[in-house]
Amino acid sequence: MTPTLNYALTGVVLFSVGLSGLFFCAHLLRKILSVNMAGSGVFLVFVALARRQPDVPPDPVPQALVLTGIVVAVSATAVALALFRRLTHEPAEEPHG
Amino acid sequence: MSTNDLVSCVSLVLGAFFFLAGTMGMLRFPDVYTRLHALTKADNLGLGLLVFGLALQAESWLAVAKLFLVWGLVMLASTTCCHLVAQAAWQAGISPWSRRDGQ
Amino acid sequence: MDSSLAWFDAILTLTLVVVALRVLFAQDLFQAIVLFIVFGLLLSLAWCRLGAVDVALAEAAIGAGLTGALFLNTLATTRRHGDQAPPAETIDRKGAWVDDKLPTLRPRPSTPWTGRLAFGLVAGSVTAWMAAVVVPLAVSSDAPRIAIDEAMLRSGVTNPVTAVLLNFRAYDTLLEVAVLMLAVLTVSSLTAGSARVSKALPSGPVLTSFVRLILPVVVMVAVYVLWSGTKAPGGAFQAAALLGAGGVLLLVTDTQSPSCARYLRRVLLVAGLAVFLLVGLGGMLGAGRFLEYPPAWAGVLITLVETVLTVSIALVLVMLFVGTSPTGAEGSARASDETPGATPLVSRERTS
Repeated sequence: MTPTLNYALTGVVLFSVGLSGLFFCAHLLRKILSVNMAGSGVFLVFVALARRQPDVPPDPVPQALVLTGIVVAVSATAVALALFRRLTHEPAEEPHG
Repeated sequence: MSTNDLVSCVSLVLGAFFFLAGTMGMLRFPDVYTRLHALTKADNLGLGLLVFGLALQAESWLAVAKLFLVWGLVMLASTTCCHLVAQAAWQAGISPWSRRDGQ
Repeated sequence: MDSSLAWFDAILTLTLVVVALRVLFAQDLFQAIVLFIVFGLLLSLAWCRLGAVDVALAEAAIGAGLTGALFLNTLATTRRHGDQAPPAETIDRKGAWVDDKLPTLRPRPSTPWTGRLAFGLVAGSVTAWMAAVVVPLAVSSDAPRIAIDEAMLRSGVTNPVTAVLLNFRAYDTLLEVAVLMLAVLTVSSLTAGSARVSKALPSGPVLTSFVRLILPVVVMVAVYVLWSGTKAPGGAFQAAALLGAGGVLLLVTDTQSPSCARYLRRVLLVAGLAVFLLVGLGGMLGAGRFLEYPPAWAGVLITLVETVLTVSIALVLVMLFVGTSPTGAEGSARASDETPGATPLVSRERTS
Protein backbone atom coordinates (compact mmCIF):
# COMPACT_ATOMS: atom_id res chain seq x y z
CA MET A 1 0.00 0.00 0.00
CA THR A 2 1.46 3.33 -1.04
CA PRO A 3 1.43 6.21 1.44
CA THR A 4 -0.96 8.07 -0.86
CA LEU A 5 -3.52 5.27 -0.79
CA ASN A 6 -3.04 4.79 2.96
CA TYR A 7 -3.63 8.44 3.83
CA ALA A 8 -6.38 8.95 1.24
CA LEU A 9 -8.33 5.98 2.61
CA THR A 10 -7.80 7.29 6.15
CA GLY A 11 -9.23 10.58 4.96
CA VAL A 12 -12.33 8.78 3.67
CA VAL A 13 -12.72 6.92 6.97
CA LEU A 14 -12.30 10.13 8.98
CA PHE A 15 -14.90 11.82 6.82
CA SER A 16 -17.35 9.03 7.49
CA VAL A 17 -16.58 9.11 11.23
CA GLY A 18 -17.25 12.83 11.25
CA LEU A 19 -20.44 12.41 9.24
CA SER A 20 -21.72 9.72 11.59
CA GLY A 21 -20.89 11.93 14.56
CA LEU A 22 -22.87 14.75 12.98
CA PHE A 23 -25.84 12.41 12.55
CA PHE A 24 -25.74 10.44 15.77
CA CYS A 25 -24.23 12.61 18.49
CA ALA A 26 -26.89 14.49 20.36
CA HIS A 27 -24.78 17.21 21.89
CA LEU A 28 -24.30 20.27 19.71
CA LEU A 29 -20.66 20.79 20.69
CA ARG A 30 -19.94 17.24 19.65
CA LYS A 31 -21.66 17.86 16.34
CA ILE A 32 -19.35 20.82 15.75
CA LEU A 33 -16.36 18.64 16.63
CA SER A 34 -17.63 16.05 14.15
CA VAL A 35 -17.92 18.56 11.34
CA ASN A 36 -14.34 19.60 12.00
CA MET A 37 -13.27 15.99 11.85
CA ALA A 38 -15.08 15.38 8.56
CA GLY A 39 -13.34 18.46 7.19
CA SER A 40 -9.97 17.10 8.26
CA GLY A 41 -10.79 13.88 6.40
CA VAL A 42 -11.41 15.85 3.20
CA PHE A 43 -8.15 17.76 3.69
CA LEU A 44 -6.31 14.48 4.13
CA VAL A 45 -7.70 13.17 0.83
CA PHE A 46 -6.61 16.37 -0.93
CA VAL A 47 -3.07 16.42 0.41
CA ALA A 48 -2.61 12.67 -0.10
CA LEU A 49 -3.66 12.98 -3.74
CA ALA A 50 -1.23 15.89 -4.14
CA ARG A 51 1.60 13.47 -3.53
CA ARG A 52 1.00 10.68 -5.99
CA GLN A 53 4.47 10.56 -7.48
CA PRO A 54 6.93 10.03 -4.65
CA ASP A 55 9.98 11.23 -6.55
CA VAL A 56 8.73 14.67 -7.57
CA PRO A 57 7.82 17.43 -5.11
CA PRO A 58 4.11 17.41 -4.20
CA ASP A 59 1.60 19.47 -6.12
CA PRO A 60 1.30 22.83 -4.31
CA VAL A 61 -2.23 23.65 -5.48
CA PRO A 62 -4.12 21.20 -3.21
CA GLN A 63 -1.80 22.12 -0.35
CA ALA A 64 -2.65 25.79 -0.75
CA LEU A 65 -6.35 24.93 -0.93
CA VAL A 66 -6.08 22.95 2.32
CA LEU A 67 -4.19 25.78 3.99
CA THR A 68 -7.05 28.08 3.02
CA GLY A 69 -9.52 25.47 4.18
CA ILE A 70 -8.01 25.20 7.65
CA VAL A 71 -8.37 28.93 8.21
CA VAL A 72 -11.93 28.94 6.88
CA ALA A 73 -12.73 25.94 9.09
CA VAL A 74 -11.60 27.73 12.22
CA SER A 75 -13.70 30.79 11.39
CA ALA A 76 -16.75 28.63 10.64
CA THR A 77 -16.17 26.83 13.94
CA ALA A 78 -16.02 30.14 15.77
CA VAL A 79 -19.33 31.22 14.22
CA ALA A 80 -20.92 27.88 15.15
CA LEU A 81 -19.64 28.18 18.70
CA ALA A 82 -20.95 31.73 18.99
CA LEU A 83 -24.36 30.51 17.79
CA PHE A 84 -24.16 27.68 20.32
CA ARG A 85 -23.41 30.15 23.06
CA ARG A 86 -26.30 32.28 21.99
CA LEU A 87 -28.56 29.22 22.23
CA THR A 88 -27.42 28.25 25.69
CA HIS A 89 -27.51 31.71 27.20
CA GLU A 90 -30.70 33.65 27.57
CA PRO A 91 -30.33 36.95 25.74
CA ALA A 92 -31.88 38.72 28.71
CA GLU A 93 -28.86 38.14 30.88
CA GLU A 94 -26.47 39.73 28.46
CA PRO A 95 -25.72 43.25 29.56
CA HIS A 96 -26.89 45.75 26.99
CA GLY A 97 -24.65 48.41 25.53
CA MET B 1 29.10 3.26 11.56
CA SER B 2 31.16 6.05 13.05
CA THR B 3 31.32 6.99 16.73
CA ASN B 4 29.15 9.94 15.95
CA ASP B 5 26.41 7.73 14.57
CA LEU B 6 26.72 5.33 17.47
CA VAL B 7 26.38 8.06 20.12
CA SER B 8 23.48 9.56 18.22
CA CYS B 9 21.77 6.19 17.96
CA VAL B 10 22.14 5.40 21.66
CA SER B 11 20.87 8.86 22.54
CA LEU B 12 17.80 8.51 20.31
CA VAL B 13 16.92 5.08 21.70
CA LEU B 14 17.36 6.31 25.26
CA GLY B 15 15.18 9.31 24.50
CA ALA B 16 12.45 7.07 23.10
CA PHE B 17 12.73 4.93 26.23
CA PHE B 18 12.14 7.98 28.44
CA PHE B 19 9.06 8.86 26.40
CA LEU B 20 7.79 5.32 26.83
CA ALA B 21 8.40 5.45 30.59
CA GLY B 22 6.67 8.81 30.87
CA THR B 23 3.65 7.58 28.94
CA MET B 24 3.41 4.46 31.08
CA GLY B 25 3.62 6.65 34.15
CA MET B 26 0.78 8.79 32.88
CA LEU B 27 -1.35 5.72 32.27
CA ARG B 28 -0.51 3.83 35.44
CA PHE B 29 0.14 6.36 38.21
CA PRO B 30 -2.65 6.87 40.73
CA ASP B 31 -3.47 10.59 40.68
CA VAL B 32 -3.07 13.81 38.75
CA TYR B 33 0.07 14.97 40.59
CA THR B 34 2.08 11.78 40.15
CA ARG B 35 1.02 11.57 36.52
CA LEU B 36 2.21 15.11 35.91
CA HIS B 37 5.47 14.24 37.58
CA ALA B 38 6.02 11.23 35.35
CA LEU B 39 5.03 13.03 32.20
CA THR B 40 6.99 16.26 32.50
CA LYS B 41 10.15 14.72 33.94
CA ALA B 42 10.36 11.96 31.39
CA ASP B 43 9.38 14.11 28.44
CA ASN B 44 11.90 16.84 29.18
CA LEU B 45 14.76 14.41 29.52
CA GLY B 46 13.51 12.24 26.66
CA LEU B 47 13.19 15.21 24.34
CA GLY B 48 16.63 16.42 25.44
CA LEU B 49 18.16 13.11 24.45
CA LEU B 50 16.30 13.11 21.13
CA VAL B 51 17.47 16.66 20.41
CA PHE B 52 21.03 15.72 21.31
CA GLY B 53 20.90 12.67 19.08
CA LEU B 54 19.49 14.67 16.18
CA ALA B 55 21.93 17.54 16.69
CA LEU B 56 24.81 15.11 16.09
CA GLN B 57 23.28 14.36 12.70
CA ALA B 58 22.48 17.96 11.75
CA GLU B 59 24.26 19.41 8.76
CA SER B 60 24.59 22.98 10.00
CA TRP B 61 25.02 24.87 13.25
CA LEU B 62 21.84 26.76 12.49
CA ALA B 63 19.90 23.49 12.58
CA VAL B 64 21.56 22.60 15.89
CA ALA B 65 20.56 25.97 17.32
CA LYS B 66 16.98 25.49 16.14
CA LEU B 67 16.81 22.03 17.70
CA PHE B 68 18.00 23.32 21.06
CA LEU B 69 15.61 26.26 20.81
CA VAL B 70 12.78 23.75 20.37
CA TRP B 71 13.97 21.86 23.44
CA GLY B 72 14.15 25.03 25.52
CA LEU B 73 10.70 26.20 24.43
CA VAL B 74 9.10 22.83 25.10
CA MET B 75 10.66 22.73 28.56
CA LEU B 76 9.36 26.22 29.31
CA ALA B 77 5.88 25.38 28.07
CA SER B 78 5.60 21.98 29.71
CA THR B 79 6.86 23.29 33.03
CA THR B 80 4.30 26.08 33.00
CA CYS B 81 1.47 23.78 31.92
CA CYS B 82 2.37 21.26 34.60
CA HIS B 83 2.35 24.02 37.20
CA LEU B 84 -1.05 25.29 36.02
CA VAL B 85 -2.66 21.86 35.99
CA ALA B 86 -1.30 21.07 39.43
CA GLN B 87 -2.43 24.45 40.75
CA ALA B 88 -5.93 24.00 39.35
CA ALA B 89 -6.11 20.49 40.80
CA TRP B 90 -4.96 21.72 44.20
CA GLN B 91 -7.47 24.57 44.19
CA ALA B 92 -10.20 22.12 43.22
CA GLY B 93 -9.47 20.30 46.44
CA ILE B 94 -7.81 17.19 45.10
CA SER B 95 -5.47 15.94 47.76
CA PRO B 96 -2.30 14.18 46.68
CA TRP B 97 -2.37 10.42 46.65
CA SER B 98 -0.62 8.69 49.49
CA ARG B 99 0.07 5.06 50.21
CA ARG B 100 -2.55 5.05 52.97
CA ASP B 101 -5.31 5.63 50.45
CA GLY B 102 -4.77 2.06 49.46
CA GLN B 103 -5.75 2.58 45.83
CA MET C 1 9.35 2.66 -0.30
CA ASP C 2 11.06 2.22 3.02
CA SER C 3 9.20 -0.47 4.94
CA SER C 4 9.77 1.09 8.39
CA LEU C 5 8.19 4.31 7.12
CA ALA C 6 5.27 2.27 5.81
CA TRP C 7 4.83 0.90 9.32
CA PHE C 8 4.96 4.40 10.71
CA ASP C 9 2.27 5.48 8.24
CA ALA C 10 0.07 2.55 9.14
CA ILE C 11 0.37 3.17 12.89
CA LEU C 12 -0.21 6.90 12.47
CA THR C 13 -3.33 6.51 10.36
CA LEU C 14 -4.71 3.83 12.66
CA THR C 15 -4.14 6.12 15.65
CA LEU C 16 -5.86 8.96 13.82
CA VAL C 17 -8.97 6.86 13.24
CA VAL C 18 -9.01 5.54 16.83
CA VAL C 19 -8.61 9.03 18.30
CA ALA C 20 -11.38 10.30 16.00
CA LEU C 21 -13.71 7.58 17.26
CA ARG C 22 -12.75 8.35 20.85
CA VAL C 23 -13.68 12.01 20.28
CA LEU C 24 -17.19 10.88 19.41
CA PHE C 25 -17.51 8.31 22.17
CA ALA C 26 -15.62 9.90 25.06
CA GLN C 27 -18.12 10.26 27.86
CA ASP C 28 -16.96 13.63 29.04
CA LEU C 29 -17.04 16.59 26.68
CA PHE C 30 -13.85 18.06 28.10
CA GLN C 31 -12.12 14.79 27.35
CA ALA C 32 -13.53 14.83 23.82
CA ILE C 33 -12.11 18.31 23.20
CA VAL C 34 -8.67 17.38 24.50
CA LEU C 35 -8.73 14.30 22.27
CA PHE C 36 -9.66 16.57 19.38
CA ILE C 37 -6.54 18.65 20.05
CA VAL C 38 -4.50 15.44 20.11
CA PHE C 39 -6.12 14.53 16.81
CA GLY C 40 -5.02 17.83 15.30
CA LEU C 41 -1.43 17.35 16.43
CA LEU C 42 -1.33 13.81 15.01
CA LEU C 43 -2.78 15.17 11.80
CA SER C 44 0.05 17.68 11.50
CA LEU C 45 2.45 14.73 11.70
CA ALA C 46 0.54 13.24 8.79
CA TRP C 47 0.93 16.49 6.83
CA CYS C 48 4.69 16.30 7.39
CA ARG C 49 4.74 12.73 6.09
CA LEU C 50 2.87 13.89 2.99
CA GLY C 51 5.39 16.64 2.36
CA ALA C 52 2.97 19.45 3.21
CA VAL C 53 4.99 21.35 5.80
CA ASP C 54 3.03 24.58 5.23
CA VAL C 55 -0.17 22.76 6.06
CA ALA C 56 1.45 21.10 9.08
CA LEU C 57 2.42 24.48 10.52
CA ALA C 58 -1.09 25.83 10.04
CA GLU C 59 -2.71 22.68 11.41
CA ALA C 60 -0.63 22.63 14.60
CA ALA C 61 -1.22 26.31 15.31
CA ILE C 62 -4.78 26.82 14.07
CA GLY C 63 -6.40 23.42 13.62
CA ALA C 64 -5.22 21.98 16.90
CA GLY C 65 -4.27 25.00 19.00
CA LEU C 66 -6.76 27.74 18.31
CA THR C 67 -9.76 25.54 17.52
CA GLY C 68 -9.16 23.64 20.75
CA ALA C 69 -8.96 26.90 22.67
CA LEU C 70 -12.26 28.03 21.13
CA PHE C 71 -13.96 24.78 22.16
CA LEU C 72 -12.55 24.85 25.71
CA ASN C 73 -13.62 28.47 26.02
CA THR C 74 -17.17 27.64 24.96
CA LEU C 75 -17.29 24.63 27.27
CA ALA C 76 -16.18 26.83 30.16
CA THR C 77 -19.00 29.31 29.50
CA THR C 78 -21.64 26.60 29.39
CA ARG C 79 -20.42 24.81 32.49
CA ARG C 80 -20.38 28.01 34.49
CA HIS C 81 -23.81 28.95 33.33
CA GLY C 82 -26.34 29.18 36.15
CA ASP C 83 -25.53 27.38 39.34
CA GLN C 84 -21.99 26.33 40.04
CA ALA C 85 -22.68 22.64 40.26
CA PRO C 86 -21.81 20.82 37.08
CA PRO C 87 -25.00 20.28 35.11
CA ALA C 88 -26.59 16.89 35.24
CA GLU C 89 -25.04 14.72 32.62
CA THR C 90 -26.42 11.56 31.26
CA ILE C 91 -25.07 9.09 28.81
CA ASP C 92 -27.60 7.98 26.27
CA ARG C 93 -27.69 4.54 24.74
CA LYS C 94 -25.26 5.36 21.97
CA GLY C 95 -22.73 6.66 24.45
CA ALA C 96 -23.31 10.25 23.47
CA TRP C 97 -22.93 12.80 26.20
CA VAL C 98 -26.24 14.54 26.75
CA ASP C 99 -26.57 17.53 28.96
CA ASP C 100 -29.94 18.40 30.41
CA LYS C 101 -29.42 22.10 30.14
CA LEU C 102 -28.00 22.26 26.68
CA PRO C 103 -30.11 22.20 23.57
CA THR C 104 -29.99 19.24 21.30
CA LEU C 105 -31.35 19.20 17.82
CA ARG C 106 -33.66 16.29 18.55
CA PRO C 107 -35.86 15.55 21.52
CA ARG C 108 -33.98 13.29 23.88
CA PRO C 109 -36.00 10.12 23.56
CA SER C 110 -33.73 9.55 20.65
CA THR C 111 -34.83 9.08 17.09
CA PRO C 112 -36.58 5.83 16.25
CA TRP C 113 -34.60 3.03 14.71
CA THR C 114 -35.90 3.85 11.25
CA GLY C 115 -34.36 7.29 11.50
CA ARG C 116 -31.09 5.86 12.73
CA LEU C 117 -31.12 3.34 9.92
CA ALA C 118 -31.73 6.07 7.37
CA PHE C 119 -28.89 8.19 8.77
CA GLY C 120 -26.62 5.15 8.82
CA LEU C 121 -27.46 4.30 5.21
CA VAL C 122 -26.75 7.86 4.11
CA ALA C 123 -23.42 7.94 5.95
CA GLY C 124 -22.45 4.51 4.64
CA SER C 125 -23.32 5.22 1.03
CA VAL C 126 -21.56 8.58 1.06
CA THR C 127 -18.46 6.87 2.42
CA ALA C 128 -18.63 4.07 -0.14
CA TRP C 129 -19.09 6.55 -2.96
CA MET C 130 -16.18 8.65 -1.72
CA ALA C 131 -13.93 5.59 -1.47
CA ALA C 132 -14.94 4.53 -4.97
CA VAL C 133 -13.89 7.93 -6.29
CA VAL C 134 -10.72 8.30 -4.26
CA VAL C 135 -9.12 4.87 -4.61
CA PRO C 136 -8.68 4.90 -8.43
CA LEU C 137 -7.32 8.45 -8.16
CA ALA C 138 -4.87 7.40 -5.47
CA VAL C 139 -3.48 4.39 -7.30
CA SER C 140 -3.10 6.07 -10.70
CA SER C 141 0.34 7.57 -11.05
CA ASP C 142 -0.30 9.83 -14.04
CA ALA C 143 -1.50 12.68 -11.92
CA PRO C 144 -2.89 15.63 -13.82
CA ARG C 145 -0.65 18.34 -12.59
CA ILE C 146 -1.19 21.96 -13.24
CA ALA C 147 1.88 23.19 -15.01
CA ILE C 148 3.22 25.79 -12.65
CA ASP C 149 6.89 24.96 -12.78
CA GLU C 150 7.76 27.46 -15.45
CA ALA C 151 5.31 29.97 -14.06
CA MET C 152 7.17 29.79 -10.74
CA LEU C 153 10.01 31.75 -12.30
CA ARG C 154 7.74 34.74 -12.79
CA SER C 155 5.87 34.45 -9.51
CA GLY C 156 8.29 36.47 -7.41
CA VAL C 157 8.67 33.80 -4.71
CA THR C 158 10.25 30.37 -4.60
CA ASN C 159 7.95 28.58 -2.14
CA PRO C 160 5.37 27.01 -4.48
CA VAL C 161 2.61 27.07 -1.86
CA THR C 162 3.06 30.80 -1.28
CA ALA C 163 3.13 31.31 -5.05
CA VAL C 164 -0.20 29.51 -5.39
CA LEU C 165 -1.76 31.32 -2.43
CA LEU C 166 -0.73 34.85 -3.29
CA ASN C 167 -0.10 34.84 -6.99
CA PHE C 168 -1.69 32.11 -9.11
CA ARG C 169 -4.81 31.68 -7.02
CA ALA C 170 -4.82 34.99 -5.20
CA TYR C 171 -8.57 35.20 -5.79
CA ASP C 172 -9.09 32.31 -3.38
CA THR C 173 -7.00 33.94 -0.72
CA LEU C 174 -8.66 37.31 -1.16
CA LEU C 175 -12.09 35.77 -0.76
CA GLU C 176 -10.85 33.74 2.18
CA VAL C 177 -9.82 36.92 3.96
CA ALA C 178 -13.27 38.28 3.21
CA VAL C 179 -14.78 35.14 4.78
CA LEU C 180 -12.66 35.76 7.87
CA MET C 181 -14.00 39.32 8.09
CA LEU C 182 -17.51 37.98 7.77
CA ALA C 183 -16.88 35.48 10.55
CA VAL C 184 -15.56 38.16 12.87
CA LEU C 185 -18.55 40.38 12.12
CA THR C 186 -20.95 37.50 12.78
CA VAL C 187 -19.28 36.43 16.00
CA SER C 188 -19.06 39.93 17.41
CA SER C 189 -22.63 40.78 16.51
CA LEU C 190 -23.85 37.51 18.01
CA THR C 191 -22.11 38.29 21.25
CA ALA C 192 -23.32 41.89 20.95
CA GLY C 193 -20.05 43.33 22.13
CA SER C 194 -20.69 42.02 25.61
CA ALA C 195 -18.02 39.39 25.50
CA ARG C 196 -14.98 40.27 27.49
CA VAL C 197 -12.26 37.83 28.19
CA SER C 198 -12.04 37.13 31.85
CA LYS C 199 -8.66 36.38 33.24
CA ALA C 200 -9.28 32.67 33.15
CA LEU C 201 -5.97 31.48 34.48
CA PRO C 202 -4.82 31.97 38.03
CA SER C 203 -2.05 34.49 38.19
CA GLY C 204 1.26 33.57 39.63
CA PRO C 205 4.94 34.15 39.20
CA VAL C 206 5.38 31.06 37.03
CA LEU C 207 2.78 31.99 34.46
CA THR C 208 3.73 35.65 34.43
CA SER C 209 7.38 34.94 33.82
CA PHE C 210 6.46 32.38 31.20
CA VAL C 211 4.39 34.91 29.31
CA ARG C 212 7.14 37.52 29.60
CA LEU C 213 9.69 35.08 28.28
CA ILE C 214 7.61 33.56 25.54
CA LEU C 215 5.96 36.59 23.96
CA PRO C 216 9.11 38.10 22.44
CA VAL C 217 10.00 34.65 21.12
CA VAL C 218 6.53 34.32 19.62
CA VAL C 219 6.84 37.64 17.84
CA MET C 220 10.33 36.80 16.64
CA VAL C 221 9.31 33.39 15.32
CA ALA C 222 6.24 34.91 13.65
CA VAL C 223 8.39 37.44 11.82
CA TYR C 224 10.80 34.68 10.84
CA VAL C 225 8.01 32.44 9.56
CA LEU C 226 6.55 35.34 7.58
CA TRP C 227 9.91 36.31 6.13
CA SER C 228 10.93 32.79 5.22
CA GLY C 229 7.52 32.07 3.68
CA THR C 230 8.64 33.36 0.30
CA LYS C 231 11.24 30.63 -0.10
CA ALA C 232 10.52 27.93 2.49
CA PRO C 233 7.43 26.62 4.27
CA GLY C 234 5.79 29.46 6.14
CA GLY C 235 3.87 32.58 5.29
CA ALA C 236 1.13 34.91 6.37
CA PHE C 237 -1.31 32.37 7.79
CA GLN C 238 1.24 30.50 9.89
CA ALA C 239 2.77 33.72 11.19
CA ALA C 240 -0.68 35.09 11.96
CA ALA C 241 -1.54 31.93 13.87
CA LEU C 242 1.55 32.39 16.01
CA LEU C 243 0.83 36.06 16.68
CA GLY C 244 -2.81 35.23 17.41
CA ALA C 245 -1.76 32.57 19.91
CA GLY C 246 0.47 35.12 21.60
CA GLY C 247 -2.46 37.54 21.77
CA VAL C 248 -4.71 34.89 23.28
CA LEU C 249 -2.05 34.10 25.86
CA LEU C 250 -1.89 37.78 26.81
CA LEU C 251 -5.65 37.93 27.09
CA VAL C 252 -6.11 34.95 29.39
CA THR C 253 -3.32 35.74 31.79
CA ASP C 254 -3.16 38.44 34.36
CA THR C 255 -0.34 40.17 32.61
CA GLN C 256 -0.73 43.79 31.71
CA SER C 257 -2.37 43.57 28.32
CA PRO C 258 -1.77 46.44 25.96
CA SER C 259 -4.97 48.28 25.28
CA CYS C 260 -5.81 49.07 21.73
CA ALA C 261 -8.03 51.94 20.67
CA ARG C 262 -11.27 50.85 19.09
CA TYR C 263 -10.73 52.62 15.81
CA LEU C 264 -7.15 51.37 15.54
CA ARG C 265 -8.39 47.83 16.05
CA ARG C 266 -10.92 48.26 13.28
CA VAL C 267 -8.34 49.74 10.94
CA LEU C 268 -5.92 46.90 11.57
CA LEU C 269 -8.72 44.36 11.17
CA VAL C 270 -9.66 45.48 7.67
CA ALA C 271 -6.15 46.55 6.63
CA GLY C 272 -5.29 43.13 5.20
CA LEU C 273 -8.34 42.93 2.99
CA ALA C 274 -8.01 46.59 1.97
CA VAL C 275 -4.35 46.38 1.01
CA PHE C 276 -4.96 43.11 -0.85
CA LEU C 277 -7.81 44.73 -2.80
CA LEU C 278 -5.76 47.83 -3.56
CA VAL C 279 -2.87 45.71 -4.82
CA GLY C 280 -5.35 43.79 -6.95
CA LEU C 281 -6.79 46.98 -8.40
CA GLY C 282 -3.28 48.29 -8.98
CA GLY C 283 -2.59 45.12 -10.95
CA MET C 284 -5.68 45.88 -12.99
CA LEU C 285 -4.31 49.32 -13.85
CA GLY C 286 -0.74 48.19 -14.39
CA ALA C 287 -0.93 44.74 -15.91
CA GLY C 288 -4.49 44.83 -17.20
CA ARG C 289 -6.02 42.14 -15.00
CA PHE C 290 -7.25 42.09 -11.44
CA LEU C 291 -4.67 40.65 -9.03
CA GLU C 292 -2.03 40.31 -11.71
CA TYR C 293 1.33 41.57 -10.57
CA PRO C 294 4.01 42.92 -12.88
CA PRO C 295 6.75 40.23 -12.66
CA ALA C 296 9.41 42.69 -11.53
CA TRP C 297 7.25 43.81 -8.62
CA ALA C 298 5.68 40.48 -7.71
CA GLY C 299 8.05 39.65 -4.87
CA VAL C 300 7.72 43.05 -3.21
CA LEU C 301 3.95 43.16 -3.59
CA ILE C 302 3.50 39.64 -2.22
CA THR C 303 5.65 40.48 0.79
CA LEU C 304 3.65 43.67 1.39
CA VAL C 305 0.31 41.89 1.17
CA GLU C 306 1.53 39.06 3.38
CA THR C 307 2.83 41.42 6.06
CA VAL C 308 -0.43 43.34 6.35
CA LEU C 309 -2.43 40.11 6.13
CA THR C 310 -0.45 38.66 9.03
CA VAL C 311 -1.46 41.48 11.35
CA SER C 312 -5.09 41.40 10.23
CA ILE C 313 -5.49 37.64 10.46
CA ALA C 314 -3.80 37.54 13.87
CA LEU C 315 -6.30 40.13 15.07
CA VAL C 316 -9.15 38.13 13.51
CA LEU C 317 -8.08 35.01 15.38
CA VAL C 318 -7.85 36.89 18.68
CA MET C 319 -11.29 38.44 18.11
CA LEU C 320 -12.78 35.03 17.35
CA PHE C 321 -11.38 33.85 20.67
CA VAL C 322 -12.83 36.88 22.45
CA GLY C 323 -16.18 36.21 20.81
CA THR C 324 -16.47 32.75 22.32
CA SER C 325 -15.36 33.87 25.78
CA PRO C 326 -17.53 34.23 28.84
CA THR C 327 -19.29 37.58 29.10
CA GLY C 328 -18.00 40.18 31.47
CA ALA C 329 -20.83 39.56 33.91
CA GLU C 330 -20.08 35.87 34.15
CA GLY C 331 -16.40 36.55 34.43
CA SER C 332 -16.79 38.87 37.36
CA ALA C 333 -19.27 36.54 39.03
CA ARG C 334 -16.72 33.80 38.78
CA ALA C 335 -13.92 35.95 40.04
CA SER C 336 -15.73 36.50 43.31
CA ASP C 337 -16.66 32.88 43.63
CA GLU C 338 -15.45 30.86 46.57
CA THR C 339 -14.28 27.88 44.60
CA PRO C 340 -12.22 29.07 41.69
CA GLY C 341 -11.21 25.51 41.01
CA ALA C 342 -14.53 24.65 39.42
CA THR C 343 -12.86 24.81 36.06
CA PRO C 344 -13.52 22.16 33.49
CA LEU C 345 -9.85 21.36 33.64
CA VAL C 346 -10.16 19.02 36.58
CA SER C 347 -13.85 18.76 37.19
CA ARG C 348 -13.83 15.12 36.24
CA GLU C 349 -10.81 14.12 38.24
CA ARG C 350 -11.43 11.88 41.15
CA THR C 351 -11.38 13.86 44.35
CA SER C 352 -10.69 11.20 46.94
